[in-house]
Amino acid sequence: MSSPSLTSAMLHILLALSHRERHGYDIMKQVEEDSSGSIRLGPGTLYGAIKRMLQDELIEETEERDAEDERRRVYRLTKIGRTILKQELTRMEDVVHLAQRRKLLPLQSPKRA
Amino acid sequence: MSSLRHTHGSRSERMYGVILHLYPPAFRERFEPEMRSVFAQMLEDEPRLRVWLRTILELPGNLIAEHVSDIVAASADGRIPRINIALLVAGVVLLAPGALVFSLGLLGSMIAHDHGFLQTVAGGFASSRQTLLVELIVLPLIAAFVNVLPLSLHVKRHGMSLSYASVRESALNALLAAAAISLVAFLLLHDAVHCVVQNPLTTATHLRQTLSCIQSS
Repeated sequence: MSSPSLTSAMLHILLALSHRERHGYDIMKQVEEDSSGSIRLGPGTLYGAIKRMLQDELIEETEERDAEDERRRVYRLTKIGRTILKQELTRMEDVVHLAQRRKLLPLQSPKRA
Repeated sequence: MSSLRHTHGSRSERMYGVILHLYPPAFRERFEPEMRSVFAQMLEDEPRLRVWLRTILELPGNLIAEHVSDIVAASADGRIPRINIALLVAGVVLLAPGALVFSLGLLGSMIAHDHGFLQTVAGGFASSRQTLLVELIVLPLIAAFVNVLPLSLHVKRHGMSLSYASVRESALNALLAAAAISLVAFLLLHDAVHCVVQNPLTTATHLRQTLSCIQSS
């Protein structure tokens, strides 16, 4: 399967959707939390990324509507999306292992708080 | 306090709704309600200034990305992307201050009888204040009229559903017509048509002599 190039925002959105479906604002807050505040998406960046991921069938919209706000739509990861996410994480893991072998990174990276 | 905050929020939301018109129509139709909802939620949870900063800072890059993506997708599908009229208007509004400053500079140059750079740019072969005034007012009016004509024809042929290719075609026609009329009017104004007509072949190759001829007319 040819892997679509993932931006940092797209990767974090996939991670945010990896364990449950979410609406846009929920994704935004989860990405912020996952990245310890280093990635703060605005609505433009968020929905630009969502549009591309819908086109690439990495995510899909569910039938569910948010009772609190009818405008919200809920998204979930597709099988393709999960596969691409795993591929990307494996690739990143390989890069980290390489960096560790070349002593660019410590063997056991310190855990984030 | 909460009502004040709500008022600010509503005003911000309305402003954000206007900004959303800068996105390509297809993108806006699909995501506008959700984006408005997210923006409203952000306003509830974060300071208004921070929300606006984040929104404004990401806007130029996102607008470019979405418009490029829209054009690329349209080309791939063999269809013509729809032009965003709001973006055209915004472009004119953004260019207007620059044009105003430039015009005021020219006006100042004219009043001070300064034959410097700006006056030269304006076609500063003018020998009198009246002539320069005509150049600054009459020629742009003629150019504007010439631009209105193709636009009217365009609307008559295509209605209000503007497309990238048809607008490009109309704009190019209007630009060429305006340039041609402005040039002819300028030459007539200076009684300098002979400088171009007498030897058309050398007009372009001997630009300096042609300009000297016009200047001495």
